[in-house]
Amino acid sequence: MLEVQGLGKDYGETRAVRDLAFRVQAGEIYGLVGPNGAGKTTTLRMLSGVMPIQEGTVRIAGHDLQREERRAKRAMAWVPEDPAPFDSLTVWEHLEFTASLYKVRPWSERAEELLEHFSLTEKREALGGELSRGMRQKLAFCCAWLSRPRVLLLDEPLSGLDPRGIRDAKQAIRDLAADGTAVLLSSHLLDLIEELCGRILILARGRSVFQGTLAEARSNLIGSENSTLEEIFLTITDASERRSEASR
Amino acid sequence: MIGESSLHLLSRLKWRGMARKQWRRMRTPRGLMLAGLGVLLIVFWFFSLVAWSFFGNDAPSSAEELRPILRGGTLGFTVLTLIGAFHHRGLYLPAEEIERLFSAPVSRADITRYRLRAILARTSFGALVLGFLVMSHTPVAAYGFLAAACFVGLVGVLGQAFSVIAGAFEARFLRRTMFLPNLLVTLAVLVVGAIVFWNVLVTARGPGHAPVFLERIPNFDTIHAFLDRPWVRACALPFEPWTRAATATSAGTFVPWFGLSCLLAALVYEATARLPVDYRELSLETSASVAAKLRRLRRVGGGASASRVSSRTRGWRTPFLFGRGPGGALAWRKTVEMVRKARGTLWISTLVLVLIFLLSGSMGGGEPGLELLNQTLLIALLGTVYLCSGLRFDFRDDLDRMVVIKSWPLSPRRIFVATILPEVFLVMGLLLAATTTRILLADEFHPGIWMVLLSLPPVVFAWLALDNAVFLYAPIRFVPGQEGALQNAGRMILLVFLRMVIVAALSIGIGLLAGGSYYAASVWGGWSDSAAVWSAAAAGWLALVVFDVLLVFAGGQLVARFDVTRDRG
Repeated sequence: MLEVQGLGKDYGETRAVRDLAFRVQAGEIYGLVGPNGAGKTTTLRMLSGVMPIQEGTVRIAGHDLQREERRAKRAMAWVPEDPAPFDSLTVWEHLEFTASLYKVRPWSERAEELLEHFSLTEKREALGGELSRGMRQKLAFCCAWLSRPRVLLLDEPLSGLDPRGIRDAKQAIRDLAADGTAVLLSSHLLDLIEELCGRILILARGRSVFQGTLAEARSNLIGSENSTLEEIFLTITDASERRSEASR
Repeated sequence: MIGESSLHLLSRLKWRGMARKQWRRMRTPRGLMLAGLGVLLIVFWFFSLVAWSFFGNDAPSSAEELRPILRGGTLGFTVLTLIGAFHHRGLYLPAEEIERLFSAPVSRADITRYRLRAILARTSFGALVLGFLVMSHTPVAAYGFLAAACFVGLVGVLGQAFSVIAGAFEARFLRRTMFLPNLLVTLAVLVVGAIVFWNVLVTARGPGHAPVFLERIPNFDTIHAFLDRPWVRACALPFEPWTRAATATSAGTFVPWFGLSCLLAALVYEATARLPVDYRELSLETSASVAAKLRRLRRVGGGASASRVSSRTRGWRTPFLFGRGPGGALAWRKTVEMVRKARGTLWISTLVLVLIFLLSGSMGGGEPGLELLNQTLLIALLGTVYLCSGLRFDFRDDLDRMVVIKSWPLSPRRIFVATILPEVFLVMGLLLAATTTRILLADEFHPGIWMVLLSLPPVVFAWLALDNAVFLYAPIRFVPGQEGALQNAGRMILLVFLRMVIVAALSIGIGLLAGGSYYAASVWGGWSDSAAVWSAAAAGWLALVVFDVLLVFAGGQLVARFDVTRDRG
């Protein structure tokens, strides 16, 4: 559903992402983890089409993101780390606009369901500028879920949510994946990744240092079947750091 | 309808949303009154412009006379817009739109069209104003208005096209940010510097002080002849249809030229939308930098304090000029901000002061020394007005820090004084440098100059203290895209009125005291005329100092009662 081949990106002299390749299947929740500055957000911005692809190819639901940009984007939804709603539009108008953007027809029944699911029904007429951080996140989920995307990209999706919101968001991600959507989830919350994701990709300095299931990571890298994702993450990123220092 | 329907829907929803927000703000009597005052201000300004345009001018000029002026105007306006366009390289989109639209299934051409429509809507007020200004001079008013309005729209689109092309060119070949704007600013500074150097040398050598270059300012005829030169005409050739349409004398001439103007504008619009440039990365950079600037503006207000700390000044060590105590530390914080953030503003302020200095050279007098007194007075007056309004390192950039500042271990009065003191010293230092230079270049002296110099500290302090006291009473900051701008405009009128009342009361008080003192000294005391004048000046000076002390008390009270929980939206 989401295929990435040889993805690369430079910022002047800095190599932000290099030769990244992975594939996310329909119905799979794939975790993207890495320390600060590893290139996670740059990767997601390229996959979402927000930023041009410098090297490599990205295929979304079979469409090449560079050559069939609009078709690829129609099959995809993107929730950035800090979603900014329109200050003067109501929650309902955000959904109306998103439905028009992604040609979702009919949309109002689906919109009602999503507002109900994310506990936003009472905020239907609230303006974007009046929403709290958590509400903004929920509104971004509603907009992303509205078009029933085949690929969903999430960057730190639980930021600002209260415990109930976190529970609802996790369930909604699981439900969407169960309906066949490929979900790429980037987060610093390793517990969340461990709980939701079948496979993970660990990025360090723009490079993929591990791809696979948690069980593979435990057996191949740590040698202990009881180690947590946090231990795996620290072991892998520390080793990558040492290698990079040695090469310098 | 041309373009993506969802983006048309977005435009409609945003307009509706803006109207709804304004309506919500006007539901309280206070909001309604302030909005009414704001509308009044805008309407008054607009109608004064229209009235000036129609009644303040002579009869419309002939087409032949007007054409070179319009050619020069179109060329100048375009060049200025294109220089300004460098500051928004790529396509600027606000934070709430950029990631949403770039990741959405819409073409970049449609996104550009959407942005161009927003630019055209934004420039419509400018088009209206310029249209009114031009129409009073053209042979047929309606033709002048339509051609000018169409031209303003075209220039807005051209500016956007230039941002995209120049940004792509710079990203590909130069990789240096702000290369051309920096070059232009440097050139401008060099030119002004050269004029100043030359002028100072001339005045230093000659017996008089008249700046020679001011006597050589070209008059209307020479400007007209210059604009009619072949190379100027060649440069302005692309804008000839607008010039011809504006100066048309009959419908038969106007319709083809105006039709051509509209056609060219539509072509430029569509060509801009279809530019084969992937501006996404530049736009992300531009939007992030504009968003950061808006955040700074919201936090610290406008002016120099909203500037970023330059990398060169980051490590500069600033001495504690006002002592090591709590008040000294507070003043030191402001001094550091000035040193690190205001380099550009200080340069510009110095340049303006130099221009005022040069302008003062054209002031005449009668008796010996009076000329110098007039010149010094002009520098002090204009300099105080400009510098006190332009250098804003005071409570304006501390609004969001008041919650912390109020917890600091010093009295509200000392907080008030320590916050404004560095700016008072800076303004005074610049003014004293300008006035003493003028005095040193002169051959004679007038004792009244002492009065001017001695009154500088209390006047500058009074100005800044009053300004800050009024600001603390009702903090208003203008930020682009701010909510409730209409209400803020209304509030601003009330505050300007309040300031005027205080200044008028102070002036009357000082005038009465000085007049009374003069009368008492000359009539009752039998003092000489000059001694009576000095006694009047001393009384006025003392009144000013008393006013300063009162302002310190008032400022302290206002700091103490400042409600940090109040929404400053």
